[in-house]
Amino acid sequence: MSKEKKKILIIEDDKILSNAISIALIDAGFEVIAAFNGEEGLEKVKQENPNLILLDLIMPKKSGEDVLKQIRKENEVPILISTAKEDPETVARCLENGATGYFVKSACTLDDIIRKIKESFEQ
Amino acid sequence: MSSVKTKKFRSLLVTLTIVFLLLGLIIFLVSTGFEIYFNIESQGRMVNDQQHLIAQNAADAVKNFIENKFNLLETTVKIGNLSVIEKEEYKLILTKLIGFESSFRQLALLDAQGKELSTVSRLSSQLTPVIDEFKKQIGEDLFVQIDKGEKYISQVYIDPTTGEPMIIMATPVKNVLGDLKGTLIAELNLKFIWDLMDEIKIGKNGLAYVVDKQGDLIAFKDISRVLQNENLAHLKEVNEFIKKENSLNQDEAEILRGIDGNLAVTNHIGLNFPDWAIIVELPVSEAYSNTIRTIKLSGLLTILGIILITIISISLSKKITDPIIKLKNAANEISGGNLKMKINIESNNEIGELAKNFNQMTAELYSYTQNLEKKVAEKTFELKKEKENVERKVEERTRELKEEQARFLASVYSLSLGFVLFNKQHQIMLKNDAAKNILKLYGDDLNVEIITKTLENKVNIKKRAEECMEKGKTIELSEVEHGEFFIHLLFVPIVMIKDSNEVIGYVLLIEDVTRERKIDRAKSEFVSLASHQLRTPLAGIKWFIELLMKGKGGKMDKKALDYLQQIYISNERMIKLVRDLLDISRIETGKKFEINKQKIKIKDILESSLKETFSLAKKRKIKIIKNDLGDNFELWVDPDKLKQVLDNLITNAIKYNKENGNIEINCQKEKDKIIFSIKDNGVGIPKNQQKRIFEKFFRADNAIFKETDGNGLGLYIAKAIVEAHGGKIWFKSKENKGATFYFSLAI
Repeated sequence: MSKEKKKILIIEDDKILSNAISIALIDAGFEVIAAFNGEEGLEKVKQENPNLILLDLIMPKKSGEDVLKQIRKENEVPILISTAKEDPETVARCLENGATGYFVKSACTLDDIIRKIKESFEQ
Repeated sequence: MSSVKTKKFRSLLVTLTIVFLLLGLIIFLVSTGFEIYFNIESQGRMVNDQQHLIAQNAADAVKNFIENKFNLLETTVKIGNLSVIEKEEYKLILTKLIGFESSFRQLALLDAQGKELSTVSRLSSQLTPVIDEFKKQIGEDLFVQIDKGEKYISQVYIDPTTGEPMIIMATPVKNVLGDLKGTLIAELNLKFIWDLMDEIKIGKNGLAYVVDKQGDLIAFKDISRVLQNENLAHLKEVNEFIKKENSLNQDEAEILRGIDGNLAVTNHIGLNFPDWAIIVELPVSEAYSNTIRTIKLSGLLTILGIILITIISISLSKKITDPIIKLKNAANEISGGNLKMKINIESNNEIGELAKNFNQMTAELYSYTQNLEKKVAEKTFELKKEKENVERKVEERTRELKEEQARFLASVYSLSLGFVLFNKQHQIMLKNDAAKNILKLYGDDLNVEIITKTLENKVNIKKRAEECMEKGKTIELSEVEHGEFFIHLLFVPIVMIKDSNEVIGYVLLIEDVTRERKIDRAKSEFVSLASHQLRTPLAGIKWFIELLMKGKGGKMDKKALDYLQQIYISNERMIKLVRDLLDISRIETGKKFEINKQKIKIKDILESSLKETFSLAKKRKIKIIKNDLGDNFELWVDPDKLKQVLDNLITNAIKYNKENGNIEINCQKEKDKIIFSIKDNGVGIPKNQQKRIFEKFFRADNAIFKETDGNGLGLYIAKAIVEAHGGKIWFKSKENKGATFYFSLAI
């Protein structure tokens, strides 16, 4: 594993949640970049070239699914979908469209998220 | 007489009559015939005898006459001593003789040489010497006889002058010594015989006549015929005589044509000397007059007899056939149906017996039919009663059915569900307004094609209906869209269950589920939204508490950490509740519940689940015993959901367990399933509440008492998850003895 800090992009419209994850990730030793909507997220992907993306599904304007598709056009970066809904179909679709994994916001702890990120890197 | 019904029907009466008649006639005629025959025969014999006698008499008479004349001559010869006397005396004697006997016409005495010695004649004129005359007439025969010394008689000849029949007789003159000295010849006028003939009486109309061997008539009462020198050789009797050699043969009377040309009983007697015959005729009518009379009488009697016999035959036959006809008529009547018919035959013979038996039989038959009729009447009455009964019942039933039908129709019409009843041929037998309204087909006549078209051909009604009828099963079609509307279709086959399981048609139920769908959709959207909106802040709280508890927000003293812990637990509860509610919401809207089926190791899931519940278990001092965990089994399941189930069951096992209790966890393979079991020895589930354990929001009383924390949703969701995977969930429990929960999943 490289000693370099991994860059993680968080695309999440809820600021509080984004905040919480960021704190946890930074504490875990990752570099964190935040985007608060889909457009911004896409920009940041291009700009920052993150090692992993945490993508919220439900966002105003552009939906997480669309963003995913767009990212995947060019990038194979691991993407973890985060959702508060339990919308199995959408999740399934996303996984089909290239999402690496997913977590349900209220169901998992920050540690769970960090673990998942680490697992994704190990793949 | 009876009518002819059968072929060749011969009336008995006629037959019998004919038989009797014939019998009678035959007997009668035969006897009469015999009688007549014998009569004829006896009469014939009698006549014959009579004739014979008369003939004989007549013959004798003639014979006597001739013999008489010969005697005269012989006497003259003897007395006159013609052998010795002188010539002159001859004339005297001859004259005396001729004077004596009127029948002598001429006399001549000849000597032995044939020389005329003397002649005497009645004839006035002196003719040629008599002897020459004689010779002319008779030839030399005379002398032949005389020479023999025998008498001689010539054939009859007719004197040309007088026409009278004459014969010549000659007798020899012999002296005492017997020497022939001469011949005495006499010419006899036979007409003197005629008187004899006259005297002969043969019955009333009988005839007698004399013929010579040539058949010339010598004597007959009809003198003219004699004088005509009639020859009767043509007559059979005469012919017989002529032919006869021995004239003396007895002759039988015969019926021949006689001298008068009539049939007569004819008899003749030959005289021999002279060679004449007396023929005696008795006309048949006289000879057999008796017989004829008898025959006539017989004839009359016969006719009378026939009439009598006929009458007797008829009456006798009638006597026989009448009773039979009576019987026959009676039988006809009876067979025609008149069983009261009695035969009135009194005769005390077999027919009478028969009639009696017949009557008996008829009487029995009658009483039998009477009986039968009575029984039939009774039965008919019974049947009528029954029929009335049945009719009444049918009426009742019909009324009941009508009422039922009315109720049914009322129900159907009042339904808010669309109801359309089809027969096997897809023809609509019954429909209600709701059906039309739902399909928005106002006023139109409904049929399968129109409905299919209305539904934009999304459903082929006919095809579905056929399927339904063939399988005999209900077919449900939800989510049929009809423009903006959602229709729920139900095809129900109409089966004649009791009789034959025959399908006679189908019912199409049409439910407008638009509102429900809309509600569902709204609900889904709400759920979707709610889950996001509720969870987001809950996640925020969770994570920041997590950070705080980790000390990322600064150092926390024990109390603060404790308080944070409480907050965290509460929050978790809320998160769980939100999740459960949203799960239920989703379960109830029927969305698919399993996604992301992955191949996962059971062991992993179990361990993960156990890890989470470990702290809770420890707190309650519950020991978890892991038994067979089926280490290497893999399942194709949704791991999160499965974890949810396990969490729930294990949590329950902990919550409702005794202090220091045990939990046993097992995982076993059985054929094509994996069976999980979680056993506790806690409060168990009371029997009367076991049925409701999987109900939404249900918590058993003892559970509530034991543990206030709990929303009653866990098992409901667990069941839904397990069943969504195609598995089963169940339990065994006794109050205060604990509970064991099982669920199975297919491999």
